[in-house]
Amino acid sequence: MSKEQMTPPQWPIKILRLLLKADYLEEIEGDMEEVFQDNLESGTYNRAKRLFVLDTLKLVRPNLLRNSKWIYRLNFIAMTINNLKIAFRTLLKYKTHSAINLVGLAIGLTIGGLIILYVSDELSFDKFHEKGNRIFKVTTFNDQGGKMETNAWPVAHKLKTEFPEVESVIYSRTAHRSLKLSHKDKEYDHKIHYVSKEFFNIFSFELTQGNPKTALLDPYSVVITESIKQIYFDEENVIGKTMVFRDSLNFKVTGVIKEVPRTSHIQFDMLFSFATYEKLTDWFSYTEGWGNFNVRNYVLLKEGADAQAAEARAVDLYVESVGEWLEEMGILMYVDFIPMEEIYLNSETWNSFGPSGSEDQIKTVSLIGIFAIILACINYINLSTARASYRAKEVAIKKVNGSSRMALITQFLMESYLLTFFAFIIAFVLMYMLLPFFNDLMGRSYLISSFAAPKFLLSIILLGVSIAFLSGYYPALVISAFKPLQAMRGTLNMNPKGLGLRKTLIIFQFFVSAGLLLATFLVLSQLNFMREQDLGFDKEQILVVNASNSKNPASHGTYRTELERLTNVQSVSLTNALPGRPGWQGQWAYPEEVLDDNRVDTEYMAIDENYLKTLGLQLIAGRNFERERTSELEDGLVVNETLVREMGWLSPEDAIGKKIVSPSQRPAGTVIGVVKDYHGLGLQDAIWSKAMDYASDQYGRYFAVRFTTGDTYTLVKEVEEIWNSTFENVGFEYFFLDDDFDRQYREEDRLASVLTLFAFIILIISGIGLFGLISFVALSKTKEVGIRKTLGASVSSIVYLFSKEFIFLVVVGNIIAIPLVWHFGNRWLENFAYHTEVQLLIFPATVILTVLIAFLTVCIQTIKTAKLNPVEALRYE
Amino acid sequence: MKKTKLGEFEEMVLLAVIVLKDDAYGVEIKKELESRLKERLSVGSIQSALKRMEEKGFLNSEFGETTKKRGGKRKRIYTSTPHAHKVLKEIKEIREGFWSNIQLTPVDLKTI
Repeated sequence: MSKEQMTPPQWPIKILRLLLKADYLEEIEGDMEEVFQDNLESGTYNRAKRLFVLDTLKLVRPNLLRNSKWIYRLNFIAMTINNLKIAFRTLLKYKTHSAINLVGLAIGLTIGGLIILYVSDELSFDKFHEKGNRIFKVTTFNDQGGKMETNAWPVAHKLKTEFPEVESVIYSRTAHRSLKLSHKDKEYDHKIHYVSKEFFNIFSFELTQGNPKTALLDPYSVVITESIKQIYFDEENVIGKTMVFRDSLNFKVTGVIKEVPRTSHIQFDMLFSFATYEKLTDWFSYTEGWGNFNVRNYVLLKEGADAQAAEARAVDLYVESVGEWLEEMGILMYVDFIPMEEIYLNSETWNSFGPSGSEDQIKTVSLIGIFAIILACINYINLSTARASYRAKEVAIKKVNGSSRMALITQFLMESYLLTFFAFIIAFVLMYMLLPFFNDLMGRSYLISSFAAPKFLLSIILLGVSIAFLSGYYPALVISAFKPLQAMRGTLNMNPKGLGLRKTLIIFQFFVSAGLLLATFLVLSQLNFMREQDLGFDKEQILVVNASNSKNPASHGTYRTELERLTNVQSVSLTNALPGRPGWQGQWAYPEEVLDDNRVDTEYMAIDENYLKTLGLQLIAGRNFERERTSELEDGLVVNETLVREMGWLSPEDAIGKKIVSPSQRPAGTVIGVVKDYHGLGLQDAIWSKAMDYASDQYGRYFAVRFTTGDTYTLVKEVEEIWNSTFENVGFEYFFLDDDFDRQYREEDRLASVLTLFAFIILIISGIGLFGLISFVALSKTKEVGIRKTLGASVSSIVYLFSKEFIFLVVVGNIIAIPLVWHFGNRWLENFAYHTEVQLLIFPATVILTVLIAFLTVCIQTIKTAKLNPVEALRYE
Repeated sequence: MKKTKLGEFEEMVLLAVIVLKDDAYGVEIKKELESRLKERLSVGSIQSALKRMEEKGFLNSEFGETTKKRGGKRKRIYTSTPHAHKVLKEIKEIREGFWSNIQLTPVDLKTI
């Protein structure tokens, strides 16, 4: 490097030009450069540069710096301290108002914080995969609105070989639950998937032991999580160790992975290599078997590949490959790609696995949260503008002394920031205390530590700042606008515009409150309707034993006989379908006489002669199965009313003796009986056409036990004992039918409790806001009340005077809310196949409730003023 | 003395300016002081002292010639004012007044 090229670094000079007085620059720059050259002669280039930078820093001295504006900021700091002091004193002076604002803002922030926690967590699912933007889940849907998470066997193969965009695919199947692991004489139940070898290449699960490339290559390889390792192994390194499943299958441990993140839609304890599945299912084929819709697939597209183009071509994969066959079946299938980050919220498929979230719930909760926050801000705005006249003199004096409007706005904003800061602290305490309750409400399990996550802290601070700004800005604008002369003279009229705004805001508050109340009533009434509705069967007093794991179907008969001997057992039925746990839905059936165009999608159920009795189903035509009539056991079918209608038969009586045929032989036979329709699914869904044959010995999975005792504890014990002696070494699983069935209403239940809670909170926020406002109005009208009383007004007439205006506002809020709730309520109810009507009663009920709350609030304050001795009132100057 | 305080470092810089005469500009002053004080000084400390003294009326300044080494920027040559001479003299007298009453023995010197 020649000497000419060794110039001093430029950036420090640029900084100097910004900072130093312009007059000094030429001299100082020259000096600096000369010193730099001197240093170059006596040392290396780097040393000279270092010294140059150091010297630059040392040049930043007060008397060399530009007289820039920051010098005046010293004043700004002093003013800030002063403003804080005044803000603090103001808060203390108007204790009631401050408390109301504080409570409102704290509630708003608490709700906001919890909702941020919930929403950000829901949206964070599956974000940890490095190749996430290129991963898609392949799903199948049909032209009849059915969606499946699984695909036909050859789909993924086609994608891999015929689509240049596709880099690799994953095959996956959920292992059957009977694949249990025996360890130290105990049986464990684990979540296991078979996955193909590309799994670790596509997904970013971290292996702590083993090679991700080869771990899932060989048959009978298993990859386990850390926690599974701790259960089964004492040693640290477990690669190559053996695990025995179902007492006979030896698996080799080929990898250990870190715990599956909670925010993954794929959850598992262990992974088997897909090669294992191929071994166990030797008829499995990659290229054949279009009728087997039971593998899950994910594709990884190549970098830069056009996902939409690939998806557009993949849609018709079924039609192109097996179009004729599909046409014959009368159903069309298509392929759909779901982007990785949408999988969690997009899980409407009927056989989805893993945790799933609901976009609707996120929207509902966020909307309510935003309302709560806005309402809290409204309280602040209303109270601050109402009390603005108290601050008029302060503003006037400041203005006369030369304060700028900006400085005043800053001062009043600071008050709102200070209050929000206190609210922030309270909100954190509240969030801490409410977290267990919130977890319960939302069905989640957030930890206290999630409040300390930087992302969460940042969001809630941002929320706090915006709340403070939102609530403080308008009042600051109003108060700082006072004209000093008017304010000093005391002729300040509260401008009608401000009053109009306050009224509008109150209307809005009660519009939201009434709307939420109405929505709550609506959801509760639908929930109640679903609970009270006659389901057509009796779900109480039924214990169900899950027998899908029993390895020995031959013993089912023995077990049933043993159960029937128990004194408290009325009847026992073995079946594959129960209310809430449907049988084989979507089986095709035709009436024998007309084969074409009259396909009925039926739910096939395998039952025995006790089924109707046990579930309390009502036979309306024909007869039930009976053991003596063996021909009917062979060929008979019991159907429901819906099926009769769908088949086009005239009446239940007409249906008896009619024949049903089906390509799969399930269901097929002669109708011997018709049962009354019953709601086998929740009331959300329409009733399926049902056909039941006598085949529980073949397909039975559940023992439904109708019992007569209240002592369920002893009953379960007895049932378990018999189980253990009949089926050795098989875990006993049971549930009560009513609990199980009610699970279907869980989402509505949650909605109802969320709404109830929020409606309550929002009503409180609106109530205290109104309370604060009225206390102000009452105070400012003390004199008027005094004069009216001297002239003979009664307490009640004064209360009426005050309350009529506010009650009018509340009623207006209600009136706006009613049509909206009517509209959206009806739309929501349409989601349910069976639903209640919007009950008109809830509208007057809500109006009365809100008006009553408003009236009581007004009364408490005004009665106090109205009762005041007029002498006191008039003397107060 | 009261209003026109001269700090110790400022006094040194002022003396350097007087010694250097026509050559008294930033870098030269810095070099002079560095050789006398036997420590490295920053451009900032010198400049800050110069500007302060100029404000207080101890120094006058004007632009001088430029050199290639300075990248085309002019020097600023400082000259001391009569007021500065007066104050320096006062300081010297005050100090001498003290010293005339102090007899430092070798023992005392050791403790210093």
